[in-house]
Amino acid sequence: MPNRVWRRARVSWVIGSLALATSSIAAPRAPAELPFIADDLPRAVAEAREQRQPIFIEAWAPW
Amino acid sequence: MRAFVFTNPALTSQAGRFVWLAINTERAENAPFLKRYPVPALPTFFIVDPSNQAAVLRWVGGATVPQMEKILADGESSVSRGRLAGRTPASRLADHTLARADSLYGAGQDSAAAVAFTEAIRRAPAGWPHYSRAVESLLFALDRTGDGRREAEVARDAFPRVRRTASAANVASSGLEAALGLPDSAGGRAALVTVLERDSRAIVSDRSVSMAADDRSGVYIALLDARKDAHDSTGASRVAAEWASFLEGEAAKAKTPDARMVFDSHRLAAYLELDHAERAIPMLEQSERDAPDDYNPPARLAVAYRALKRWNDALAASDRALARAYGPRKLGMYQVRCDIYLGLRDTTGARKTLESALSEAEALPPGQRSERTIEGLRHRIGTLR
Repeated sequence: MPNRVWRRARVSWVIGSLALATSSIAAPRAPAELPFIADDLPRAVAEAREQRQPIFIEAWAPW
Repeated sequence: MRAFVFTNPALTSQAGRFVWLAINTERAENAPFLKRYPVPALPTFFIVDPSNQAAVLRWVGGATVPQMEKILADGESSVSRGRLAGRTPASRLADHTLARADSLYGAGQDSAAAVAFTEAIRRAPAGWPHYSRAVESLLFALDRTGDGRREAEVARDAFPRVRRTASAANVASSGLEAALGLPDSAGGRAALVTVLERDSRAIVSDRSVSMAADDRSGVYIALLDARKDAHDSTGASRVAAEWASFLEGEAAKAKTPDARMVFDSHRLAAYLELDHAERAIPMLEQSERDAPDDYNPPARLAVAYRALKRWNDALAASDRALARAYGPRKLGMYQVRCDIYLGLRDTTGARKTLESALSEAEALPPGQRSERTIEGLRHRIGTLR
């Protein structure tokens, strides 16, 4: 296993990735959260083709 | 990311520019996705062109809001082929090569991607805006291919240029870890370790640069490994104490239980390094109260109790975790449970636990199934017969 993954695994196995940022940017009005589609690639592809937009995918795990 | 980045107005204001998809990699129904889009670590982000479903960009690991804004802009540009509209011929050439590297990287072709990222960086003019992202991706690709020497050398050479950016932590810590992974006999190893440990130390000493908390936490892990490598137990303890203090400070700033809980795993790891697992217990008990359906707090409690040799408490926590868990993550919980049974001197219970794990590991679909994990379980079961 690669170094970085192996060494981080020592933490992630204990368990979890800490995917967050310490930065904070004040900004005006915007939707409260991004409209993520859950676990449905075909639906995302269909919507993206219809709307002619790229797909942003977050691969995550609940740990 | 949900707690800190994806709720930031700078990103939510871009909601209409993409179709947003979240893939829970633990769910069996997402195994085909994992076969198609390689996910070497979590989180991993992709920008996908819907016309052919090709990943035009991949980013492995957490990101700050500004980093994520760049990822979105680069990915969108790549899908629309807008990169070729660069300002100068040199910039256009570098952008074009970067697009090819991103595409190879997105397809999991790490060796070829490393060559292309290197070429893009070589061709880039001064002030190229994609430099930091290209370097980070190159380092990870080299990591995946096992070329630790090049990874360390690239990190050493890139660090001065990214020193004031959010990429500094990953560049320094990746390089340091890669250098530490070289054989002791490798020429130049000591010099690489020295300079990259110095750079990593500079990152944790300077809080003026905004970066992902897990990246900064990763620097502490690398520094810890460096002190252990130097057989400096006092120095290692000092780093672990700093690491725990940093994480406690970040957790204390959290405005919601979810935001606080994202630090639990790293805090537990730091407490284990300090040999003070008991410091994790109140934190994890609070998390279990705050998120009663989440398997993570009891799974972590089982780890903490195991370290404290409180076997019955560990077993009870393991019961609660396994009752809520699903997917490949359960396999790690079984390994902890096996250790707990061994602590109780119950070899039969330990073996049966691993046999359950093996059965579940073999039943995982392609994309989630890991032959390496299966082989490891078989080997460990063999030692318990």
